[in-house]
Amino acid sequence: MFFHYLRYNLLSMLRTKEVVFWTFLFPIALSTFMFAAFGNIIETTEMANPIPVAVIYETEVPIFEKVVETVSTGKDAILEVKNLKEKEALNALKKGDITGIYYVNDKISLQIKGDELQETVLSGFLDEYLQRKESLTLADMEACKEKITSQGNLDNLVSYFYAILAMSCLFASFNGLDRIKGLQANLSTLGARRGVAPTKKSVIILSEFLAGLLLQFAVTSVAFLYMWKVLGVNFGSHVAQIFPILLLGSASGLSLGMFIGALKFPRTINGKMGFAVSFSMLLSVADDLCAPNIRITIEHYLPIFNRINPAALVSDAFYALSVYDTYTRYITNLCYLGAITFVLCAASYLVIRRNRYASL
Amino acid sequence: MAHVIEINNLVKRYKELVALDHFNLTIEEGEIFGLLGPNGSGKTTTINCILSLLTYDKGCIKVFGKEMKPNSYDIKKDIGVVMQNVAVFEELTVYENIDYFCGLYIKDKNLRKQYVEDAINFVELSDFRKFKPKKLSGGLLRRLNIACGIAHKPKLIFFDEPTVAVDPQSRNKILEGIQELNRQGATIVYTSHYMEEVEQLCSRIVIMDKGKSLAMGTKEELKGMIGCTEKITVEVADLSKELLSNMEQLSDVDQVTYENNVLHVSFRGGRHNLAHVMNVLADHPGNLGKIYSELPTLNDVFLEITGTELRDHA
Repeated sequence: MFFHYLRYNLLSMLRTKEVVFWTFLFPIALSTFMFAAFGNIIETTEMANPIPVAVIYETEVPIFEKVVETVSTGKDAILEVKNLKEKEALNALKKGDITGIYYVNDKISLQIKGDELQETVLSGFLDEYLQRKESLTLADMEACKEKITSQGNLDNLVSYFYAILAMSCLFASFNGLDRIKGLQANLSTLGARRGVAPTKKSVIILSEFLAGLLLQFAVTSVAFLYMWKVLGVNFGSHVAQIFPILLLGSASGLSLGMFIGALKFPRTINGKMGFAVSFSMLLSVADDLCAPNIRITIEHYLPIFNRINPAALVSDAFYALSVYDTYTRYITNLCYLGAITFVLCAASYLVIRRNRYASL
Repeated sequence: MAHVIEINNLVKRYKELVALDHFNLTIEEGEIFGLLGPNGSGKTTTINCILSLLTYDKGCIKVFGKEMKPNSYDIKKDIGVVMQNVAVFEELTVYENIDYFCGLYIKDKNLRKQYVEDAINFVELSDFRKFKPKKLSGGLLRRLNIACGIAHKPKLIFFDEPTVAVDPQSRNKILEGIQELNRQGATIVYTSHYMEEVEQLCSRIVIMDKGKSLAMGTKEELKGMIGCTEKITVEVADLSKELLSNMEQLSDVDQVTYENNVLHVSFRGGRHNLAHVMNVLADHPGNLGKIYSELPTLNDVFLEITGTELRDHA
């Protein structure tokens, strides 16, 4: 019977032309406006100058010294190492004279302050070193420098398009709210009718969720293809890996809306919709939709927020895909999105299963 | 006869408001049972408590002899509900809506197909099967609402004010349909504030007000609870006090009122009451307007019990 419900849920959604139209139109329109406004300055930014850093050696690690020397010499140097003591380095970091400090002891760590691109290069360099330090050769070091340098070729406005796609995923929460509205007797007469039927809530919820997910995934995929193929936004070479981000991003947005719908407060559907809109916008703003570097600032002061913000996870997954050679960070973000989806769906189910209401 | 529904001592409060006040009810198999009362009297709250949609503060509800809970799927499969408000998908056609809701109860595809066809024919929507709800008139929409509630051929059907805002022709169709469902074996629970419908349909009736059961029984039993057996109304101008006094002295007269040139005389019994009234009025020099005699209605029962008319609330 699951497919019976799924079929009619999908039919019902697809025939709601206003919803389909606006859900499709919004990310496309926003990305078009963005492109029209900034299209002439969306260009690749080469790493024109080496990034100023300090390296504080608390323990001698010759191989790291060698690597640093390699990547800080020559015309294509990516680092400019300042000879500073720890206190001086911290002052310089505070003033913005340097972008980061590498602390070299038993473990090599990085303290950073600067723009997102430079931070990415510095942390990318460290990641690359840590992964290969056991068997590093000179050729590897050159390759490492080349790769990190090339990673700096990131469209400096592409992150806004990531944010639009992330927001589009979060807008699935409105659909999720609508799905759950139709299951709750205190929110709709349809909910009352389905509430008196001898069908398990888990089956109905799953069919609603899957129907909503299919629609939302189609919407975000079309928006992505439009940005990529029509607007020519450079999403890098890992296009196939972008679709899992859109799928899990849509799933997390949908489950967020279902969870808001299942909550006892706000009581009314209008109140819930207002809350969903506000919350989605808040998460999108925290993901740099309105201004740059908010996500980085949050990462410094409250990193857990970025781990539970689906928009930040979607953007970061895009980012990891564009910047890093390995899939570790990308997969980590996908796992977080999957976990959020599961937790929110399970919580929604637990709230509304066998539910009786104080008033209708 | 088996009890289909048993409600014992049911109490439901909305904060300070007592919506159901130690309410008791027993409905037998095969009945058309009417819940009659003004808006806010607790009819829909009673149904929602029975259906386990609402929490309640006290009491016990059994359906088909078993305690009703939200996960009582074995009970729910035999229940049909026609909601007060139309509950259908706006984007699905008549056929699709009925098929969807029937599918919540009937898993077998072929059986479901047959049931859906039966429901469409039953509510006479064959010509509208591909119509979406917004294209249907109010009456047709109500009929779709009914079809969605009864397509799975339930043994117990709740009709919660199914004729609100329906034209007379559609209303008659709906009432005939309900009687037919009862003839086919379904037990019906019918709520309304239209006493004429309840009188026409129901074999037993409970009159509710402010969450309480005021009286319960067949319509004859209910009417037997009040003294009045006949009401005579005459439009006549300028009646004298002497003539009114003569009227009060007629045998079996219960009450005489004269307001706005309309005379009401109610009798506790007796025969040929209209002839006696006309004999008294023969001495009156003026012309007479409309004259009619009525048997007591459920509204009179309600009036006698509560002191207000059911129509005043509705």
